[in-house]
Amino acid sequence: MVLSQTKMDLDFRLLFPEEFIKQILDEGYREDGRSHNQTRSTTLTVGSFKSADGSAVVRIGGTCVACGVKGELANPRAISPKDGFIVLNVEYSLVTGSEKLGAIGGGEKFFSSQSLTQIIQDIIHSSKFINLEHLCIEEGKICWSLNVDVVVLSCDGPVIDACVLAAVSALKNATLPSVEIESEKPLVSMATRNHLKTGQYPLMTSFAIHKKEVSDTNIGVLVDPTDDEAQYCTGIVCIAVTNDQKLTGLYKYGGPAMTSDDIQKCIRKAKKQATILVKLIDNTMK
Amino acid sequence: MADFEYLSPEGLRSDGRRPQELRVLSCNISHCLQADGSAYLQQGNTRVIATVYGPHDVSRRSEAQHDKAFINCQFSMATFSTSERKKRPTGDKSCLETSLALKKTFEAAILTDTYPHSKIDIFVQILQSDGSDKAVSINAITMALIDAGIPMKDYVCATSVTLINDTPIVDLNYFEERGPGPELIVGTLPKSGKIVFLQVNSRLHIDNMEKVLKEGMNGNQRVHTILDTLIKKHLEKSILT
Amino acid sequence: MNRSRASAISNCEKEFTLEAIQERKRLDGRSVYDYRQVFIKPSPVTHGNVLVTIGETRVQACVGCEVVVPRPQRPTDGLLYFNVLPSPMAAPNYDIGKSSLTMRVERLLDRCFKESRSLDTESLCIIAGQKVWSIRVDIHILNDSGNITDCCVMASFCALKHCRRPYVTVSGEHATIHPVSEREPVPLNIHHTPICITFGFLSEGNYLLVDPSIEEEKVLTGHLYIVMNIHREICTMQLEGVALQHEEVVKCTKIAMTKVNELNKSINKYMGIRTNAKNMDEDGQSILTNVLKETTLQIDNIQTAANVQEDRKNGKDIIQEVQEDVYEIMYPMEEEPPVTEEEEPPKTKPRDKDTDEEEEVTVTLTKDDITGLTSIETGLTSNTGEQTSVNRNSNKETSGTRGRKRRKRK
Repeated sequence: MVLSQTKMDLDFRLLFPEEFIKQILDEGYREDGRSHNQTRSTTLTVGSFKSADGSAVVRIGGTCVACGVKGELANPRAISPKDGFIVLNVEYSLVTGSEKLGAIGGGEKFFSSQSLTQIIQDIIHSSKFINLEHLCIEEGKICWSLNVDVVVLSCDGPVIDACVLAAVSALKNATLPSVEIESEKPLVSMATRNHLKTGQYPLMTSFAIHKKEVSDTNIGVLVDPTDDEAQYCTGIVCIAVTNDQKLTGLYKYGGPAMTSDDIQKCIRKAKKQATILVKLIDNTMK
Repeated sequence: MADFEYLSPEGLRSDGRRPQELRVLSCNISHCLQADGSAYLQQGNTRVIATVYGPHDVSRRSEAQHDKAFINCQFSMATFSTSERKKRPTGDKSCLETSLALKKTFEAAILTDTYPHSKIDIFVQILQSDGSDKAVSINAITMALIDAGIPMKDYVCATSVTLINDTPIVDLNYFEERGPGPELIVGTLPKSGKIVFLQVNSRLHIDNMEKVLKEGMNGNQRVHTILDTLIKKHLEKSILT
Repeated sequence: MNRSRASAISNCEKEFTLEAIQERKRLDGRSVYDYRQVFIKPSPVTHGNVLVTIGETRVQACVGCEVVVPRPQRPTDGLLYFNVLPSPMAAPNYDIGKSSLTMRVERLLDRCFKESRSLDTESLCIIAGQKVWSIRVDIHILNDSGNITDCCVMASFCALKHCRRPYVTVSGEHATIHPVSEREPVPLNIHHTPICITFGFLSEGNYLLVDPSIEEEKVLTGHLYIVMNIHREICTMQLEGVALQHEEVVKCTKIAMTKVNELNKSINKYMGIRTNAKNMDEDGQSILTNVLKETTLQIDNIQTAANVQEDRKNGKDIIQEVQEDVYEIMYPMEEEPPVTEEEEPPKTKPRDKDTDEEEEVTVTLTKDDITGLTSIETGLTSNTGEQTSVNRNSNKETSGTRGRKRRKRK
C-alpha cells in the first residue's frame, strides 16, 4: 500500500527511493499508512511440513519465515550428562536474493544469518523455554538433539521477530517419538508421539531508530520496520519479552543514543505486542 | 521392498491414483514482492518456491556475454525437507548438479538474445520433498519466469515417469521414486513437443524407452494445461485489483 | 571450466566448422557417427591403473581400496567414490581444483556405477556394520581434446575391471585381510559395462555429432550423454542445452547402441577379457605372467595397426614406440631398451609354452637387443606370411629364454 497514489509520487519513489522515505518519515508518516506504533498483521501456520517433526510458517507483511524441527538421537556431553541439545540454525534462503550482500548464509542490513543464529540461540536457551533435562533419555548415554532450522523465505525488514516466533511455534508444535532402552540399544517406537514440555517462551519485537538531524533531541522510533524504512534508519532495538510479561532480552545495535524513557516506551510496546502474539499462538495451536 | 505394492492388481497406486494421473497441483504466484518474479508450487506433498531476479547487471565481468543473457540458477533444499535431515542445504554435489542442469534447460527455453550483457538469477528452494523434486522445480521456475515477464519460447513443463510391471507411472512420489523401476525425468516445450530436459536414472531397457518417454510427454501436456489456467486466473485477479 | 580463461574461438573458425558440419563433413575427416581411435592401456605393474585415449584426449584412472567403517544408515553397503582431478596441463582453461565440469562428470559416474548398480556395493561388505571396502576411483584428466566425459567413464570402468582387491576370509566376527604375497587378490564384482556416448548438437538440434573434438565442442550448443550397456539398457541419460523432438532422442539411443557394441569390443580387446576363457587370476598365475600377457596383446594390436598403415617409414619406429610405451612406467624413456640379465622365474616357463601356441606368437631368436631389433625389423618390413616374432619379454630381456625360444621359431 502506498500512501499517495498520484503518478508523480510513484515516479519520485522509483527514482529517489531514499529521499522519498526520508521525507515521509521526517513528516511522521509511514509508507504503508501505519502509525509509528503499529505492527503489520501476522499470520502463523503450524505443522504444515510433514517431513519435519515440528514446523511453523510465519508471515509478517512481506516477510516470510519457515522453521522445521527435527530430532536426532545423540550422546550427551560428559560435562552435562543429563542435558539434551537444541541446535539452532538460521539461514536466508537463496530465494531472498540476499546473497548479493556477500555474507555467507545471506543477510540484510542489520542481521546476517550468523548473527541471527547466535541471538536466537541465546534467547531460547536463556529463557529456559525447554528444559534440556527433559530431552535426556538415559543419563550419560542417549539424549535427544533437536535441530531447529529457520529458513527466511522472503525478507522485508529485520526478520528477527518472525524468526523467533517461528522457532518458538515450531518447538511447541514438535512431537518426538517415545524411546525405550532395551539392552543398551535405543528402541524408537514411531507409533506414540509426545509433545515437548515447554515453559515460558520469548517473543521478540524490533524497533528501528532514527534521528532527523544529528543535533535533534527527539528520536523517531518505528515499530516493525519494513526494508525501506530499515535502510533509512541507522539503528535497531530488539526487545524479547516472555509470554508472562517478563523482559528476557534487550539488544540495541547502532543508531543514536537513547534515553531510558525511550527504552521504557519500547519495552511497554513490546509487552503489548507480546500479549497479541500469545493469543495468536494459542489460537493456532488449538 | 517386496511387501510394498507400487501398483495394485486393480491398477491403483499406493496413494490411490491411476498410473497416468498427476498429483494435485496448486500454485501461488507473485507472493514475494521483493523479487521480480516468484512462484510457490505445490504438487502433492512436494512444495517448492522459485524466485527470479532480473534481467539486471552482471555482478562479475566474466559473466557478461555480448550476445545473450547470463543465466544463473541455484537449487537448494531445506534441511527439514526430507525425512532424514539434510546436513547441507546447498553446495553438495547433487544440488550443484541439479543447478547446472536447470541452468542449461532454461538457457534453451529463455530468449536470451533479447538481453545481452545482463544476468537473470533463478533461485529454487525445496521446502518439502515428496518425490519429483526436479520436475516440480522446473514447473515452479516456469511460473516464476512468466511472473517476471521474461520472454520464453514456451512453458517448460516437466514430470517424472517410471516403469512398474510394464506400466508407465507418471508423477512419482517419494516411494515410487526409490522403487525398483528406472526413473525418467522429462521436461518439454508443450506446443512444439520438443524435449529440453531429460534425465534417466537406473537401468531403462532401450525397448521400453519410447513408451516411457511418450507417457512423460503426455503428462507434460496435462501439466501445461493446468499451469496455463493458473496463470490466466492470476492475471484476471491482478487486473481487477 | 573457468570462463574467463576459456580459449576463445574466432568467428571464421566458428563459421568454418559450422559450415563443414552442415555439409556432414568433420575437421578430421571422420563421418558424423565415427569415434576417434580408442586405445586402452592397463598398467602392467599396478592393478586398477588404466590409461585411456580417445584420439588425443587422455585420461588416467586409478582405483584404491581401503577397509573402513560403513555409514550407520547403510551398514551392509560398501562405499564408492569418484574423484575427477583436472590437470592444468590438460587445457589452457583448466584450473587445479573442482569446477562445474568435474562436478558434472563425477555425478554422471555416480549415476552410471552406483545408481545403476553396475558395481554392487553390497558385495563390498566384509562384516555388516563394522568393516566394508571403500573403493576410491581417482580420474586424472591428462589432455582434453574433446569428449572428456566418454573418456572418463571408459577409464573408470576399465580401472574398476582391472582392479584387484586383497582376499578376505571372514570367520564369525573376525575378518582376515590377506596380503598380496599370501593370496591372489580378487577382482571386483561388476555386473554390467556402462559405456558413455556423447552426442553434440548444433543450431537447435538440426545437426548431430558423435564424439566431438575440441574444435567442435566450442561451437556446440547442446549435449546428450547416453550411458548404455551391452544388454541394451540405458543406465543414465542426460540432455542439456538443446530442445529435441522425441523421435530424435530415440534415434540417438539406437545409434548409441551400435557405438556401445563397438566400444565394448575395444575394451574387451585391450583389457584381455575373453568371453570363453577363465578369469586370469583364478588360474593361480602370478601377476608377472598377467603382465606379460597384457603387454603381448597390446603389442599384437600395435602390430596389426602397423601392417595396415602403409605410410609408416620402417618397422623400427613402431617397435621402439611399443617398447618405450611399455617401459615408460618401469624405466625412464631411453633410446634403446636396456639389457638386463634377469631370468624369468622357471615355474612360469611351461605356461608360456602353452599360451604361446594359443596366441600364435613366437618369441625372439636373437642374442642381444640390437640384433634382436634388426631381425624384428626384417620380419615386419618383409610383410610375408611369416609369423612375425615379437619379444614377449620386452620389459625384461633374458638371454636364457632366448635360446629356448629359438627352437620354437616357425
